Amino acid sequence: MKSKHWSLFRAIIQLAFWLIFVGSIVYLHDPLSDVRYGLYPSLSIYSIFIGSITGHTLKYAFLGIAIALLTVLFGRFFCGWICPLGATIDASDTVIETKAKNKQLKKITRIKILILLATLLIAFLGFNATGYSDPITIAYRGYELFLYPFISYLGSEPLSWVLPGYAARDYPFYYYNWIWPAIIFIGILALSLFFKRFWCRVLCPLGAIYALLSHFSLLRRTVDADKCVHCGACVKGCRMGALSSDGTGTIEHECIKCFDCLKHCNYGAIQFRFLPPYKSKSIAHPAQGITRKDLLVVAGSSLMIASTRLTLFAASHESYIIRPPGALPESDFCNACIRCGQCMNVCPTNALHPCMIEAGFYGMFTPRLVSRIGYCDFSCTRCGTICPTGAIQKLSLAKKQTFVIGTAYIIKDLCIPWSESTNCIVCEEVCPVQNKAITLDRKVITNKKGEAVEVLLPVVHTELCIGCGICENRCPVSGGGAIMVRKPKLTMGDSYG
Amino acid sequence: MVKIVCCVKQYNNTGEDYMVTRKSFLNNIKDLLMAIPVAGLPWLKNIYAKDMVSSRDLVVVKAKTITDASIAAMVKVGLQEMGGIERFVKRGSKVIIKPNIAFNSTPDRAHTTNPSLVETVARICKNAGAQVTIMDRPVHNARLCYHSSRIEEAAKRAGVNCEYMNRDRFKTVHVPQGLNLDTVDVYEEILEADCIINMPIAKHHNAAMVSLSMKNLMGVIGGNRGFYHVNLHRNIVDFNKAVKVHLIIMDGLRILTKHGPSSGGPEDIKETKTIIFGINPVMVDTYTAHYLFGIEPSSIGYLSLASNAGMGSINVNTYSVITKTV
Repeated sequence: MKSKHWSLFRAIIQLAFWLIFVGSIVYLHDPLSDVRYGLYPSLSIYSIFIGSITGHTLKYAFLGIAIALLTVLFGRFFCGWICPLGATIDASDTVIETKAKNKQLKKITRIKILILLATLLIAFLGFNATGYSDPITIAYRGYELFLYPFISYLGSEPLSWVLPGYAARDYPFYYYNWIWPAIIFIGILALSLFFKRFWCRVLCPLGAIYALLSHFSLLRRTVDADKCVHCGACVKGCRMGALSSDGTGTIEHECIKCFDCLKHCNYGAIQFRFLPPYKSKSIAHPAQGITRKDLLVVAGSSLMIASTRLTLFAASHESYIIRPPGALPESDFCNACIRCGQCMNVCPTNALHPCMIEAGFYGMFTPRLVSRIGYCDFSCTRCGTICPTGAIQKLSLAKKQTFVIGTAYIIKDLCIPWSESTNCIVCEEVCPVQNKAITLDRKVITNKKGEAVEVLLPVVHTELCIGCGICENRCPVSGGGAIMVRKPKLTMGDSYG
Repeated sequence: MVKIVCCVKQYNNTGEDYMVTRKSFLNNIKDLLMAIPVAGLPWLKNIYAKDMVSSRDLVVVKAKTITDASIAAMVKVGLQEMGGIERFVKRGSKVIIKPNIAFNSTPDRAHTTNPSLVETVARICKNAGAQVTIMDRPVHNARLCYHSSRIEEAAKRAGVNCEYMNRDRFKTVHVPQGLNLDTVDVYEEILEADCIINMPIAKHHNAAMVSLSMKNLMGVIGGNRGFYHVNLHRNIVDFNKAVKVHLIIMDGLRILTKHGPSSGGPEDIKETKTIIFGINPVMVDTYTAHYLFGIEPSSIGYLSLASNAGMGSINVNTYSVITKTV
């Protein structure tokens, strides 16, 4: 391959990985898809690393570890070749006018190292911040919770040319609180207004890990001093600002091996070669510019963030927050969940939605069952199967069908038979529990007009109810419905210690 | 007409305000114009006139065992007694088979129509030269229901379409002399089809007592299903007034006798090994309720309402029934 073609080759691979990413979201959203392989979150060594501190393991962790090992060989290639957020940022460059195209950054890039340090510190204090900072989960939430519902709704007709019956399956769907993942996602893209790949250079903690590793990587950019005319074309074209102003020096930990400089160089002066690190020195090191003050800020802010788990900001254990079946106990659940949002994507009934702060700052973006939008299907175990961390345990179907996530309570003042003496049996009809957790009492009562009428009054048998929420979902009473699923009474006293 | 009568009544009741002003006169003309389609539609779309009266036959086919082969034989005998499939399905016509695929449960739980029965009927219609589509509007997620009820698979084996209903394609139609509803949303293709074959499964239903062919029509109605469960019996009758079904094939092979329509265990399922063919939904349902469930038909709200509305008799003794055993 000619050296000029490497850049195109990289772009094709990047596009391919992006297509796999987007395709997996579309595929997994299909209720009949195989959900055993939700691979993408496992590509992040950052998630794996933080998880090993807070005490959970990621499925398919070998993928992330393999990429980390390859980073030692090839440098920070993940960011330019695989990362879906990086691909999105690169694509958005065509729309977003960047102010300072090739700005050289001296000190600000250390922030990503500081963020990495802070999140590690927070992890030791028992707060898993992966979901707030990992680029793959951010991309996941942006695509799954914000972009895909829009595209599926507006573009269902063209999509159904490729996927038969797509337009009519059970769409449209949307996600409660979708605006927050959207703001974060668009915000990260908008940062490119300042300079290209702002997120990757300044903020990304996964990038920071790769930066640290690639400082010692073997694939290095070398410049033939005889051929180089110091025209600066490569410096201008470098999206990561990884080159010294004359183009000969390289900041190895910022170079994402996108090979754009090969494309820009008209003199064939640039080569990528496998060299031991001491032979081709990077002109900067990743921790450059970190001062004692920075470390104090990191220590202080991580203490503050970790302390949001304390009572004041902690999950309020609101009784209406229903977790998916198989979810760990609340505190462990928030700790294990990396907020990739795949459970929400695979839910066939659009029942799982991201929390905002209703589950505490600590529970942001964790899945929550919103029964009024969707219900937990009686014969579905998809969320537990796809969960990469085991925050939602994988349950067998028989176990899931007896797993209690909540209990339904009838609000008799709203319920049509109870308040208006008119028959309505929807909740009983849809109840999937084998012997019906909701039954109808046949009673003769006097209605408001003073007539004696026979009415079927629904009654919940709390010992049978599993809280799947289909009764709340299908209740014809407008607004919140006349039956609602709450956490079982006995666990409601959590916050009283 | 109704509207005009109302107007006149109003004027009479108000007594001294009998004067016709310009405004009320114009209003009257407006009401008159609006009343024309309302009063005219029952004539234009008197959809029950022919079939309700002319065909009073039920064909009941029983078998000793339930196998794919015996089901095929039962359908064959049943359709022969009904006058052959050609009576209903013309070459090149559009046929819609509407089984009960309402729930995400496997066929052994008897919540959904037997897939092998659906396959047989679909194949027969296809061989008669029709363009066959199978569809339903399930309660649960459509894709899951179609899959786990095995009806999608059965359609594929029979080589016919199995389509999801697109929620944008419901059309509002008038209910002639509706008991509770003026209009309902009906799926467009149902309205356009030449022949609709309703294939319900007979099962227990706590509100409707039994869910049979008339209740099964809820699966072609759009809108919020929950609302229709208030005053359910009247609404069921109205659906049957709005949608014309050409043939009913009742799946009474294995029926759910308790905890219906969406739960219940193996102990609630009774093997009755019967398929009932008919044209009039009231008669088919009356017969099924009476013989398979042992329920007095007049105690079922929608059946007595329908018979009062002149949609068919619920006196089982007056039926001419042919019973065959395979």
